[in-house]
Amino acid sequence: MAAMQHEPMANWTKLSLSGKITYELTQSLKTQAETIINQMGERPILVCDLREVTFLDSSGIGFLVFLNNKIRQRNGHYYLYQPNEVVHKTLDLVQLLDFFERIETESELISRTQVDTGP
Amino acid sequence: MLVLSRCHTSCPLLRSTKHGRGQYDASEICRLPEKLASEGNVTSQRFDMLENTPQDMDTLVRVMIVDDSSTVRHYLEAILQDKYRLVSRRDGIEALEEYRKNRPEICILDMNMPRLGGLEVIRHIRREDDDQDLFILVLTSEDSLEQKSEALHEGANDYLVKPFDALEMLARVRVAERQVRLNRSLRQAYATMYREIEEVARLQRRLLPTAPPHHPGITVQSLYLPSSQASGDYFDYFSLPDEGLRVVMADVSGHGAKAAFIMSMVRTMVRFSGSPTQSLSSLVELLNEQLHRFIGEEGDFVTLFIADINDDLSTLEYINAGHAPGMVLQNGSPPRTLPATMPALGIFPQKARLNTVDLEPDTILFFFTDGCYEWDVRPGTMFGLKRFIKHAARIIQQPDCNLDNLFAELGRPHSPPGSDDVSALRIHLQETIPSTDQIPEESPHRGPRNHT
Repeated sequence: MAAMQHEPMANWTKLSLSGKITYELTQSLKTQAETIINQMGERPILVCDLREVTFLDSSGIGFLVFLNNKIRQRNGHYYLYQPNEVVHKTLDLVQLLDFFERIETESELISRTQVDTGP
Repeated sequence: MLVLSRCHTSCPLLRSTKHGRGQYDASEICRLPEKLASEGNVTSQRFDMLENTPQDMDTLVRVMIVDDSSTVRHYLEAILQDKYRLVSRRDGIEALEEYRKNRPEICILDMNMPRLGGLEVIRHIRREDDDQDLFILVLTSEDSLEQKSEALHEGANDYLVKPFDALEMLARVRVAERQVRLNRSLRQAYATMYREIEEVARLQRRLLPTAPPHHPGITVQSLYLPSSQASGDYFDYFSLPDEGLRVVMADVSGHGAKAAFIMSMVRTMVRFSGSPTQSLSSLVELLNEQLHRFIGEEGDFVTLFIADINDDLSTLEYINAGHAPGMVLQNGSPPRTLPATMPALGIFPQKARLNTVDLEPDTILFFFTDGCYEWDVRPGTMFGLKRFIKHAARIIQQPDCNLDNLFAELGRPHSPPGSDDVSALRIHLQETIPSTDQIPEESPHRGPRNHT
Protein backbone atom coordinates (compact mmCIF):
# COMPACT_ATOMS: atom_id res chain seq x y z
CA MET A 1 0.00 0.00 0.00
CA ALA A 2 1.47 3.30 -1.06
CA ALA A 3 1.28 6.50 0.90
CA MET A 4 2.37 10.12 0.55
CA GLN A 5 2.95 12.31 3.57
CA HIS A 6 3.46 16.00 3.45
CA GLU A 7 5.47 17.80 6.13
CA PRO A 8 6.00 21.57 5.85
CA MET A 9 9.29 22.68 7.43
CA ALA A 10 10.49 26.21 8.18
CA ASN A 11 11.63 27.02 4.67
CA TRP A 12 11.19 23.79 2.76
CA THR A 13 8.72 20.96 2.38
CA LYS A 14 9.21 17.26 2.78
CA LEU A 15 7.14 14.80 0.79
CA SER A 16 7.58 11.23 2.00
CA LEU A 17 6.59 8.39 -0.28
CA SER A 18 6.24 4.80 0.82
CA GLY A 19 5.15 1.46 -0.61
CA LYS A 20 4.46 0.81 -4.28
CA ILE A 21 4.19 3.92 -6.41
CA THR A 22 2.29 2.68 -9.42
CA TYR A 23 -0.10 3.71 -12.17
CA GLU A 24 -3.17 3.07 -10.02
CA LEU A 25 -2.10 5.88 -7.66
CA THR A 26 -0.02 8.36 -9.55
CA GLN A 27 -2.88 10.41 -10.99
CA SER A 28 -4.26 11.06 -7.53
CA LEU A 29 -0.75 11.67 -6.15
CA LYS A 30 -0.17 14.28 -8.86
CA THR A 31 -3.36 16.13 -7.91
CA GLN A 32 -2.44 16.11 -4.23
CA ALA A 33 1.15 17.15 -4.92
CA GLU A 34 0.08 19.98 -7.18
CA THR A 35 -2.09 21.40 -4.38
CA ILE A 36 0.85 21.17 -1.98
CA ILE A 37 3.25 22.82 -4.45
CA ASN A 38 0.77 25.63 -5.15
CA GLN A 39 0.74 26.42 -1.44
CA MET A 40 4.54 26.60 -1.25
CA GLY A 41 4.98 30.08 -2.70
CA GLU A 42 7.85 31.30 -4.88
CA ARG A 43 11.16 29.42 -5.22
CA PRO A 44 9.95 26.37 -3.32
CA ILE A 45 12.26 23.68 -1.98
CA LEU A 46 10.78 20.21 -2.15
CA VAL A 47 12.57 17.20 -0.70
CA CYS A 48 11.11 13.88 -1.72
CA ASP A 49 11.95 11.21 0.83
CA LEU A 50 12.19 7.84 -0.94
CA ARG A 51 13.57 5.64 1.83
CA GLU A 52 10.37 3.64 2.24
CA VAL A 53 9.48 3.12 -1.41
CA THR A 54 9.27 -0.59 -2.25
CA PHE A 55 8.51 -0.36 -5.98
CA LEU A 56 8.32 2.28 -8.69
CA ASP A 57 6.75 1.49 -12.03
CA SER A 58 7.11 3.78 -15.04
CA SER A 59 4.21 5.93 -13.77
CA GLY A 60 6.01 6.21 -10.43
CA ILE A 61 9.13 7.45 -12.21
CA GLY A 62 6.87 9.81 -14.15
CA PHE A 63 5.53 11.14 -10.86
CA LEU A 64 9.07 12.02 -9.72
CA VAL A 65 9.68 13.76 -13.05
CA PHE A 66 6.35 15.60 -12.70
CA LEU A 67 7.36 16.93 -9.25
CA ASN A 68 10.71 18.04 -10.67
CA ASN A 69 9.01 19.89 -13.54
CA LYS A 70 6.49 21.64 -11.29
CA ILE A 71 9.15 22.84 -8.86
CA ARG A 72 11.53 23.95 -11.63
CA GLN A 73 8.72 25.93 -13.27
CA ARG A 74 8.58 27.96 -10.05
CA ASN A 75 12.35 28.41 -9.98
CA GLY A 76 12.57 26.12 -7.01
CA HIS A 77 14.77 23.21 -5.97
CA TYR A 78 13.77 19.58 -5.98
CA TYR A 79 15.75 16.79 -4.32
CA LEU A 80 15.40 13.06 -3.93
CA TYR A 81 16.29 12.19 -0.36
CA GLN A 82 18.06 8.90 0.32
CA PRO A 83 16.61 6.91 -2.57
CA ASN A 84 16.95 3.26 -1.52
CA GLU A 85 18.37 0.43 -3.60
CA VAL A 86 15.08 -0.29 -5.36
CA VAL A 87 14.71 3.34 -6.42
CA HIS A 88 18.40 3.52 -7.43
CA LYS A 89 18.10 0.46 -9.66
CA THR A 90 14.86 1.63 -11.24
CA LEU A 91 16.16 5.11 -12.04
CA ASP A 92 19.44 3.68 -13.24
CA LEU A 93 17.67 1.38 -15.71
CA VAL A 94 15.99 4.34 -17.42
CA GLN A 95 19.22 6.36 -17.00
CA LEU A 96 17.54 9.06 -14.95
CA LEU A 97 19.62 8.72 -11.80
CA ASP A 98 21.72 11.75 -12.69
CA PHE A 99 18.74 13.73 -13.91
CA PHE A 100 17.61 14.21 -10.32
CA GLU A 101 19.54 16.03 -7.62
CA ARG A 102 20.00 13.59 -4.76
CA ILE A 103 20.67 14.10 -1.08
CA GLU A 104 22.21 11.10 0.63
CA THR A 105 22.91 12.31 4.19
CA GLU A 106 21.16 14.30 6.88
CA SER A 107 23.96 16.86 7.08
CA GLU A 108 23.72 17.37 3.33
CA LEU A 109 19.97 17.84 3.74
CA ILE A 110 20.55 20.57 6.33
CA SER A 111 23.12 22.37 4.23
CA ARG A 112 21.09 22.18 1.00
CA THR A 113 17.88 23.42 2.56
CA GLN A 114 19.72 26.28 4.27
CA VAL A 115 21.87 27.32 1.33
CA ASP A 116 18.97 27.21 -1.10
CA THR A 117 16.88 29.66 0.89
CA GLY A 118 19.41 32.37 0.23
CA PRO A 119 18.65 35.26 -2.14
CA MET B 1 -57.02 -2.20 -9.91
CA LEU B 2 -56.67 -5.59 -8.33
CA VAL B 3 -54.98 -4.02 -5.37
CA LEU B 4 -57.88 -1.80 -4.46
CA SER B 5 -60.49 -4.50 -4.80
CA ARG B 6 -58.64 -6.52 -2.20
CA CYS B 7 -57.99 -3.64 0.10
CA HIS B 8 -61.32 -2.00 0.53
CA THR B 9 -61.18 -1.70 4.26
CA SER B 10 -59.29 0.87 6.13
CA CYS B 11 -55.67 -0.21 6.21
CA PRO B 12 -54.39 -1.11 9.68
CA LEU B 13 -50.90 -0.13 8.73
CA LEU B 14 -51.98 3.47 8.46
CA ARG B 15 -53.82 3.76 11.73
CA SER B 16 -50.80 4.79 13.64
CA THR B 17 -48.01 6.70 12.06
CA LYS B 18 -44.90 8.24 13.49
CA HIS B 19 -46.03 11.71 12.55
CA GLY B 20 -49.67 11.15 13.38
CA ARG B 21 -50.69 11.60 9.81
CA GLY B 22 -54.04 10.49 8.50
CA GLN B 23 -55.65 7.19 8.09
CA TYR B 24 -56.55 6.41 4.51
CA ASP B 25 -58.87 3.73 3.34
CA ALA B 26 -58.28 1.85 0.15
CA SER B 27 -60.42 4.08 -1.98
CA GLU B 28 -58.24 6.97 -0.95
CA ILE B 29 -54.97 5.27 -1.67
CA CYS B 30 -55.29 5.76 -5.39
CA ARG B 31 -55.77 9.47 -4.76
CA LEU B 32 -52.93 9.63 -2.27
CA PRO B 33 -50.79 12.21 -4.06
CA GLU B 34 -53.65 14.66 -4.48
CA LYS B 35 -54.86 14.10 -0.95
CA LEU B 36 -51.44 14.65 0.58
CA ALA B 37 -51.06 17.83 -1.38
CA SER B 38 -54.50 19.14 -0.56
CA GLU B 39 -53.85 18.57 3.13
CA GLY B 40 -50.81 20.74 2.84
CA ASN B 41 -48.65 17.97 4.22
CA VAL B 42 -46.31 17.98 1.29
CA THR B 43 -44.29 20.69 -0.28
CA SER B 44 -44.50 21.20 -4.01
CA GLN B 45 -41.27 19.26 -4.26
CA ARG B 46 -42.72 16.32 -2.39
CA PHE B 47 -45.87 16.49 -4.48
CA ASP B 48 -43.72 16.36 -7.56
CA MET B 49 -42.20 13.21 -6.15
CA LEU B 50 -45.62 11.60 -6.14
CA GLU B 51 -46.86 13.07 -9.38
CA ASN B 52 -47.85 10.61 -12.03
CA THR B 53 -45.89 11.70 -15.07
CA PRO B 54 -45.90 9.64 -18.24
CA GLN B 55 -42.79 7.53 -18.38
CA ASP B 56 -41.49 4.88 -20.62
CA MET B 57 -41.80 1.55 -18.81
CA ASP B 58 -38.20 0.75 -19.68
CA THR B 59 -36.99 3.67 -17.65
CA LEU B 60 -39.12 2.86 -14.59
CA VAL B 61 -37.17 1.47 -11.69
CA ARG B 62 -37.99 -2.17 -10.98
CA VAL B 63 -39.14 -2.74 -7.41
CA MET B 64 -39.71 -6.12 -5.80
CA ILE B 65 -41.95 -6.28 -2.74
CA VAL B 66 -41.36 -9.33 -0.56
CA ASP B 67 -43.75 -9.90 2.31
CA ASP B 68 -45.82 -12.84 3.46
CA SER B 69 -48.70 -10.52 4.37
CA SER B 70 -50.97 -9.87 1.41
CA THR B 71 -52.26 -6.74 3.16
CA VAL B 72 -48.78 -5.25 3.29
CA ARG B 73 -48.03 -6.28 -0.27
CA HIS B 74 -51.23 -4.77 -1.60
CA TYR B 75 -50.80 -1.61 0.37
CA LEU B 76 -47.24 -1.10 -0.88
CA GLU B 77 -48.39 -1.80 -4.43
CA ALA B 78 -51.05 0.86 -4.07
CA ILE B 79 -48.50 3.40 -2.87
CA LEU B 80 -45.84 2.65 -5.45
CA GLN B 81 -47.64 1.46 -8.54
CA ASP B 82 -47.74 4.77 -10.38
CA LYS B 83 -44.03 5.43 -10.16
CA TYR B 84 -42.39 2.03 -10.28
CA ARG B 85 -42.50 -1.26 -12.10
CA LEU B 86 -43.64 -3.61 -9.35
CA VAL B 87 -43.53 -7.27 -8.66
CA SER B 88 -44.59 -8.89 -5.38
CA ARG B 89 -43.42 -12.15 -3.84
CA ARG B 90 -44.53 -13.97 -0.71
CA ASP B 91 -41.29 -15.33 0.81
CA GLY B 92 -37.54 -15.53 0.46
CA ILE B 93 -37.55 -18.48 -1.94
CA GLU B 94 -39.90 -16.72 -4.36
CA ALA B 95 -37.90 -13.53 -3.90
CA LEU B 96 -34.60 -15.18 -4.91
CA GLU B 97 -36.24 -16.83 -7.91
CA GLU B 98 -37.61 -13.50 -9.07
CA TYR B 99 -34.35 -11.72 -8.32
CA ARG B 100 -32.32 -14.16 -10.42
CA LYS B 101 -34.85 -14.09 -13.23
CA ASN B 102 -35.61 -10.40 -13.62
CA ARG B 103 -33.03 -8.52 -11.54
CA PRO B 104 -35.12 -5.93 -9.72
CA GLU B 105 -33.28 -2.76 -8.70
CA ILE B 106 -35.00 -2.10 -5.35
CA CYS B 107 -36.19 -4.76 -2.94
CA ILE B 108 -38.60 -3.95 -0.09
CA LEU B 109 -37.95 -6.92 2.11
CA ASP B 110 -39.77 -8.34 5.11
CA MET B 111 -37.59 -10.15 7.66
CA ASN B 112 -39.82 -12.80 9.15
CA MET B 113 -41.27 -14.97 6.44
CA PRO B 114 -41.96 -18.69 6.00
CA ARG B 115 -39.51 -20.94 4.09
CA LEU B 116 -36.73 -18.34 3.81
CA GLY B 117 -36.40 -15.18 5.88
CA GLY B 118 -35.21 -11.75 4.80
CA LEU B 119 -31.78 -12.03 6.38
CA GLU B 120 -31.02 -15.17 4.33
CA VAL B 121 -32.21 -13.39 1.19
CA ILE B 122 -29.76 -10.54 1.87
CA ARG B 123 -26.92 -13.01 2.44
CA HIS B 124 -27.67 -14.88 -0.80
CA ILE B 125 -27.78 -11.71 -2.85
CA ARG B 126 -24.73 -10.04 -1.34
CA ARG B 127 -22.48 -13.06 -0.90
CA GLU B 128 -23.49 -15.79 -3.34
CA ASP B 129 -24.62 -13.56 -6.18
CA ASP B 130 -22.08 -10.91 -5.19
CA ASP B 131 -24.56 -8.15 -6.07
CA GLN B 132 -23.85 -4.95 -4.18
CA ASP B 133 -26.10 -2.85 -6.43
CA LEU B 134 -29.59 -4.06 -5.49
CA PHE B 135 -31.01 -1.52 -3.03
CA ILE B 136 -32.49 -3.48 -0.14
CA LEU B 137 -34.97 -1.68 2.07
CA VAL B 138 -35.85 -3.84 5.04
CA LEU B 139 -39.44 -3.45 6.20
CA THR B 140 -40.19 -5.34 9.39
CA SER B 141 -42.33 -5.22 12.47
CA GLU B 142 -39.33 -6.06 14.62
CA ASP B 143 -37.69 -2.95 15.97
CA SER B 144 -34.83 -4.58 17.85
CA LEU B 145 -31.43 -2.95 17.59
CA GLU B 146 -29.83 -6.38 17.07
CA GLN B 147 -31.90 -7.25 14.01
CA LYS B 148 -31.50 -3.80 12.53
CA SER B 149 -27.77 -3.90 13.00
CA GLU B 150 -27.51 -7.46 11.63
CA ALA B 151 -29.57 -6.64 8.54
CA LEU B 152 -27.48 -3.56 7.77
CA HIS B 153 -24.28 -5.48 8.49
CA GLU B 154 -25.31 -8.22 6.04
CA GLY B 155 -25.90 -5.66 3.31
CA ALA B 156 -29.31 -4.01 3.69
CA ASN B 157 -29.24 -0.38 2.58
CA ASP B 158 -32.11 0.93 4.69
CA TYR B 159 -34.44 -0.18 7.44
CA LEU B 160 -38.02 0.81 8.17
CA VAL B 161 -40.27 -0.47 10.96
CA LYS B 162 -43.97 -1.41 10.61
CA PRO B 163 -46.32 0.26 11.04
CA PHE B 164 -44.92 2.87 8.72
CA ASP B 165 -45.90 6.24 7.39
CA ALA B 166 -46.80 6.23 3.71
CA LEU B 167 -44.93 9.44 3.08
CA GLU B 168 -41.83 8.17 4.77
CA MET B 169 -42.00 4.95 2.74
CA LEU B 170 -42.34 6.92 -0.47
CA ALA B 171 -39.47 9.18 0.52
CA ARG B 172 -37.22 6.22 1.28
CA VAL B 173 -38.06 4.46 -1.96
CA ARG B 174 -37.34 7.74 -3.71
CA VAL B 175 -33.90 7.81 -2.07
CA ALA B 176 -33.38 4.26 -3.28
CA GLU B 177 -34.52 5.29 -6.76
CA ARG B 178 -31.96 8.11 -6.84
CA GLN B 179 -29.25 5.60 -5.98
CA VAL B 180 -30.50 3.20 -8.67
CA ARG B 181 -30.59 5.93 -11.30
CA LEU B 182 -27.11 7.05 -10.31
CA ASN B 183 -25.86 3.47 -10.67
CA ARG B 184 -27.58 3.23 -14.05
CA SER B 185 -25.91 6.40 -15.32
CA LEU B 186 -22.54 5.28 -13.95
CA ARG B 187 -22.89 1.95 -15.72
CA GLN B 188 -23.91 3.72 -18.90
CA ALA B 189 -20.98 6.14 -18.68
CA TYR B 190 -18.62 3.25 -17.99
CA ALA B 191 -20.02 1.29 -20.92
CA THR B 192 -19.54 4.28 -23.24
CA MET B 193 -15.99 4.78 -22.02
CA TYR B 194 -15.28 1.06 -22.31
CA ARG B 195 -16.54 1.00 -25.92
CA GLU B 196 -14.40 4.02 -26.82
CA ILE B 197 -11.28 2.54 -25.28
CA GLU B 198 -12.05 -0.73 -27.01
CA GLU B 199 -12.11 1.15 -30.30
CA VAL B 200 -8.72 2.66 -29.47
CA ALA B 201 -7.42 -0.79 -28.59
CA ARG B 202 -8.75 -2.31 -31.80
CA LEU B 203 -7.10 0.43 -33.83
CA GLN B 204 -3.92 0.02 -31.83
CA ARG B 205 -3.72 -3.71 -32.55
CA ARG B 206 -4.00 -2.90 -36.24
CA LEU B 207 -0.92 -0.70 -35.93
CA LEU B 208 1.20 -3.65 -34.85
CA PRO B 209 3.00 -5.54 -37.60
CA THR B 210 1.56 -8.88 -38.64
CA ALA B 211 3.35 -9.74 -41.87
CA PRO B 212 6.71 -11.50 -41.68
CA PRO B 213 9.78 -9.49 -42.69
CA HIS B 214 10.77 -9.64 -46.36
CA HIS B 215 14.29 -10.76 -45.54
CA PRO B 216 14.56 -14.54 -46.08
CA GLY B 217 16.97 -14.99 -43.19
CA ILE B 218 14.82 -13.25 -40.56
CA THR B 219 11.89 -14.74 -38.68
CA VAL B 220 9.99 -12.80 -36.05
CA GLN B 221 7.73 -13.92 -33.24
CA SER B 222 5.85 -11.39 -31.17
CA LEU B 223 3.90 -11.36 -27.96
CA TYR B 224 1.44 -8.58 -27.08
CA LEU B 225 -0.61 -8.71 -23.89
CA PRO B 226 -2.14 -5.35 -22.97
CA SER B 227 -3.07 -5.06 -19.29
CA SER B 228 -6.37 -3.40 -20.14
CA GLN B 229 -7.77 -2.74 -23.59
CA ALA B 230 -5.49 0.09 -24.67
CA SER B 231 -1.76 -0.12 -24.10
CA GLY B 232 1.37 2.01 -23.96
CA ASP B 233 3.55 -0.72 -25.42
CA TYR B 234 4.64 -0.49 -29.03
CA PHE B 235 6.70 -2.78 -31.18
CA ASP B 236 7.34 -2.65 -34.86
CA TYR B 237 9.64 -3.93 -37.59
CA PHE B 238 9.92 -2.96 -41.21
CA SER B 239 12.31 -3.26 -44.11
CA LEU B 240 14.75 -0.47 -44.87
CA PRO B 241 15.64 0.67 -48.39
CA ASP B 242 19.00 -1.17 -48.13
CA GLU B 243 17.15 -4.47 -47.35
CA GLY B 244 18.02 -4.29 -43.69
CA LEU B 245 15.37 -4.45 -40.98
CA ARG B 246 14.47 -1.73 -38.47
CA VAL B 247 13.14 -3.07 -35.17
CA VAL B 248 11.43 -1.02 -32.46
CA MET B 249 10.33 -1.86 -28.93
CA ALA B 250 8.94 1.02 -26.88
CA ASP B 251 7.01 1.58 -23.70
CA VAL B 252 5.09 4.71 -22.77
CA SER B 253 4.98 5.39 -19.02
CA GLY B 254 1.64 4.39 -17.55
CA HIS B 255 -1.01 2.57 -19.50
CA GLY B 256 -4.56 3.01 -20.76
CA ALA B 257 -5.92 5.48 -23.31
CA LYS B 258 -3.38 8.26 -22.70
CA ALA B 259 -0.44 5.90 -23.11
CA ALA B 260 -2.08 4.48 -26.25
CA PHE B 261 -2.36 7.97 -27.71
CA ILE B 262 1.31 8.73 -27.03
CA MET B 263 2.22 5.33 -28.45
CA SER B 264 0.50 6.21 -31.74
CA MET B 265 2.48 9.48 -31.85
CA VAL B 266 5.70 7.51 -31.46
CA ARG B 267 4.72 5.02 -34.15
CA THR B 268 3.85 7.79 -36.60
CA MET B 269 7.18 9.48 -36.05
CA VAL B 270 9.12 6.21 -36.32
CA ARG B 271 7.33 5.22 -39.51
CA PHE B 272 6.89 8.49 -41.34
CA SER B 273 9.33 11.14 -40.09
CA GLY B 274 12.13 12.19 -42.33
CA SER B 275 13.49 10.26 -45.27
CA PRO B 276 13.49 6.47 -45.45
CA THR B 277 17.22 6.52 -44.88
CA GLN B 278 17.03 8.74 -41.82
CA SER B 279 19.67 7.67 -39.35
CA LEU B 280 18.67 6.13 -36.04
CA SER B 281 20.31 9.00 -34.15
CA SER B 282 18.42 11.75 -35.96
CA LEU B 283 15.15 9.83 -35.62
CA VAL B 284 15.60 9.35 -31.87
CA GLU B 285 16.57 13.00 -31.40
CA LEU B 286 13.45 14.06 -33.29
CA LEU B 287 11.33 11.75 -31.15
CA ASN B 288 12.86 13.12 -27.98
CA GLU B 289 12.34 16.72 -29.03
CA GLN B 290 8.69 16.19 -29.99
CA LEU B 291 7.87 14.13 -26.90
CA HIS B 292 9.55 16.68 -24.66
CA ARG B 293 7.53 19.43 -26.26
CA PHE B 294 4.16 17.68 -26.05
CA ILE B 295 4.18 15.31 -23.08
CA GLY B 296 7.20 16.31 -21.00
CA GLU B 297 5.49 18.67 -18.62
CA GLU B 298 3.23 16.02 -17.09
CA GLY B 299 6.14 13.69 -16.41
CA ASP B 300 5.18 11.22 -19.13
CA PHE B 301 8.05 9.65 -21.02
CA VAL B 302 8.91 6.88 -23.43
CA THR B 303 11.55 4.20 -23.19
CA LEU B 304 12.68 2.95 -26.57
CA PHE B 305 14.90 0.27 -28.02
CA ILE B 306 15.40 0.83 -31.72
CA ALA B 307 17.78 -1.14 -33.89
CA ASP B 308 18.80 -1.61 -37.50
CA ILE B 309 19.90 -5.07 -38.58
CA ASN B 310 21.91 -4.79 -41.75
CA ASP B 311 21.00 -6.80 -44.81
CA ASP B 312 23.73 -9.43 -44.44
CA LEU B 313 22.75 -9.90 -40.78
CA SER B 314 26.29 -9.18 -39.63
CA THR B 315 25.70 -6.08 -37.51
CA LEU B 316 23.11 -4.53 -35.26
CA GLU B 317 23.12 -0.78 -34.74
CA TYR B 318 20.98 0.22 -31.81
CA ILE B 319 19.92 2.98 -29.47
CA ASN B 320 18.49 2.07 -26.11
CA ALA B 321 16.77 5.09 -24.56
CA GLY B 322 16.13 4.01 -20.97
CA HIS B 323 14.51 0.76 -22.08
CA ALA B 324 14.93 -2.74 -20.67
CA PRO B 325 18.10 -4.27 -22.11
CA GLY B 326 17.87 -6.08 -25.40
CA MET B 327 19.33 -9.58 -25.53
CA VAL B 328 21.62 -11.16 -28.10
CA LEU B 329 21.91 -14.95 -28.00
CA GLN B 330 24.47 -16.69 -30.11
CA ASN B 331 25.30 -20.38 -30.29
CA GLY B 332 24.07 -21.23 -26.83
CA SER B 333 26.52 -18.85 -25.15
CA PRO B 334 25.36 -16.69 -22.20
CA PRO B 335 23.12 -13.83 -23.30
CA ARG B 336 24.78 -10.56 -24.19
CA THR B 337 22.65 -7.72 -22.94
CA LEU B 338 22.33 -4.33 -24.61
CA PRO B 339 21.68 -1.84 -21.78
CA ALA B 340 20.51 1.74 -22.09
CA THR B 341 22.77 4.01 -24.08
CA MET B 342 20.88 7.16 -23.15
CA PRO B 343 18.05 8.30 -20.84
CA ALA B 344 14.36 7.77 -21.56
CA LEU B 345 12.78 10.15 -24.09
CA GLY B 346 10.58 13.18 -23.53
CA ILE B 347 12.08 14.39 -20.26
CA PHE B 348 14.83 16.78 -21.36
CA PRO B 349 16.71 17.70 -24.55
CA GLN B 350 19.50 15.24 -25.30
CA LYS B 351 21.67 13.77 -28.02
CA ALA B 352 21.16 10.21 -29.17
CA ARG B 353 23.86 7.63 -28.50
CA LEU B 354 24.26 4.76 -30.95
CA ASN B 355 26.01 1.43 -30.39
CA THR B 356 26.94 -1.28 -32.86
CA VAL B 357 27.20 -5.01 -32.19
CA ASP B 358 28.67 -7.56 -34.58
CA LEU B 359 26.47 -10.58 -35.02
CA GLU B 360 27.38 -14.18 -35.68
CA PRO B 361 25.36 -16.47 -37.91
CA ASP B 362 22.31 -18.03 -36.27
CA THR B 363 21.64 -15.31 -33.72
CA ILE B 364 18.51 -14.72 -31.71
CA LEU B 365 17.61 -11.19 -30.65
CA PHE B 366 15.08 -10.67 -27.89
CA PHE B 367 13.44 -7.38 -26.97
CA PHE B 368 10.79 -6.89 -24.32
CA THR B 369 9.00 -4.38 -22.10
CA ASP B 370 9.12 -4.12 -18.30
CA GLY B 371 5.75 -5.87 -17.94
CA CYS B 372 7.66 -9.08 -18.70
CA TYR B 373 9.51 -8.96 -15.38
CA GLU B 374 7.66 -6.51 -13.11
CA TRP B 375 5.24 -8.96 -11.54
CA ASP B 376 5.01 -10.51 -8.11
CA VAL B 377 6.12 -14.10 -7.68
CA ARG B 378 4.47 -13.82 -4.27
CA PRO B 379 3.33 -10.73 -2.36
CA GLY B 380 6.30 -8.43 -1.91
CA THR B 381 8.69 -10.41 -4.16
CA MET B 382 9.07 -9.32 -7.73
CA PHE B 383 10.21 -11.68 -10.49
CA GLY B 384 12.73 -9.04 -11.52
CA LEU B 385 14.87 -8.24 -14.54
CA LYS B 386 17.91 -10.36 -13.66
CA ARG B 387 15.86 -13.51 -13.16
CA PHE B 388 13.83 -12.80 -16.30
CA ILE B 389 16.95 -12.46 -18.45
CA LYS B 390 18.33 -15.73 -17.09
CA HIS B 391 15.16 -17.74 -17.74
CA ALA B 392 14.21 -15.98 -20.98
CA ALA B 393 17.65 -16.79 -22.41
CA ARG B 394 16.97 -20.51 -21.91
CA ILE B 395 13.40 -20.38 -23.21
CA ILE B 396 13.92 -18.29 -26.32
CA GLN B 397 16.92 -20.33 -27.47
CA GLN B 398 14.79 -23.46 -27.73
CA PRO B 399 14.34 -24.32 -31.43
CA ASP B 400 10.59 -24.80 -30.96
CA CYS B 401 10.19 -21.68 -28.81
CA ASN B 402 6.68 -20.29 -28.80
CA LEU B 403 6.39 -16.86 -27.17
CA ASP B 404 2.77 -17.56 -26.31
CA ASN B 405 4.09 -20.05 -23.76
CA LEU B 406 6.70 -17.70 -22.29
CA PHE B 407 4.91 -17.06 -19.01
CA ALA B 408 3.77 -20.64 -18.64
CA GLU B 409 7.43 -21.63 -18.86
CA LEU B 410 8.25 -19.00 -16.26
CA GLY B 411 5.73 -20.63 -13.94
CA ARG B 412 2.87 -18.23 -14.63
CA PRO B 413 0.29 -19.96 -16.80
CA HIS B 414 -2.13 -17.07 -16.48
CA SER B 415 -0.79 -14.10 -18.34
CA PRO B 416 -0.42 -11.19 -18.35
CA PRO B 417 1.15 -11.84 -14.98
CA GLY B 418 1.12 -8.30 -13.62
CA SER B 419 -0.84 -5.10 -14.03
CA ASP B 420 1.40 -3.73 -16.79
CA ASP B 421 1.33 -4.22 -20.54
CA VAL B 422 3.53 -7.02 -21.84
CA SER B 423 5.28 -7.09 -25.21
CA ALA B 424 8.15 -9.19 -26.54
CA LEU B 425 9.86 -9.75 -29.87
CA ARG B 426 12.01 -12.76 -30.73
CA ILE B 427 13.98 -12.25 -33.89
CA HIS B 428 15.84 -15.20 -35.35
CA LEU B 429 18.61 -14.35 -37.78
CA GLN B 430 19.46 -17.45 -39.75
CA GLU B 431 22.31 -17.88 -42.11
CA THR B 432 21.13 -17.78 -45.69
CA ILE B 433 23.24 -19.49 -48.31
CA PRO B 434 24.88 -16.68 -50.20
CA SER B 435 26.63 -16.98 -53.52
CA THR B 436 30.41 -17.23 -53.13
CA ASP B 437 31.06 -13.64 -54.16
CA GLN B 438 28.77 -12.46 -51.32
CA ILE B 439 30.54 -14.21 -48.44
CA PRO B 440 31.73 -11.44 -46.09
CA GLU B 441 35.10 -11.43 -44.39
CA GLU B 442 34.85 -12.36 -40.74
CA SER B 443 34.95 -9.32 -38.53
CA PRO B 444 37.50 -9.51 -35.71
CA HIS B 445 35.36 -7.34 -33.47
CA ARG B 446 32.61 -9.01 -31.45
CA GLY B 447 31.82 -6.59 -28.66
CA PRO B 448 29.38 -3.65 -28.45
CA ARG B 449 30.64 -0.58 -30.25
CA ASN B 450 30.01 2.98 -29.29
CA HIS B 451 29.13 5.66 -31.81
CA THR B 452 28.19 8.90 -30.23
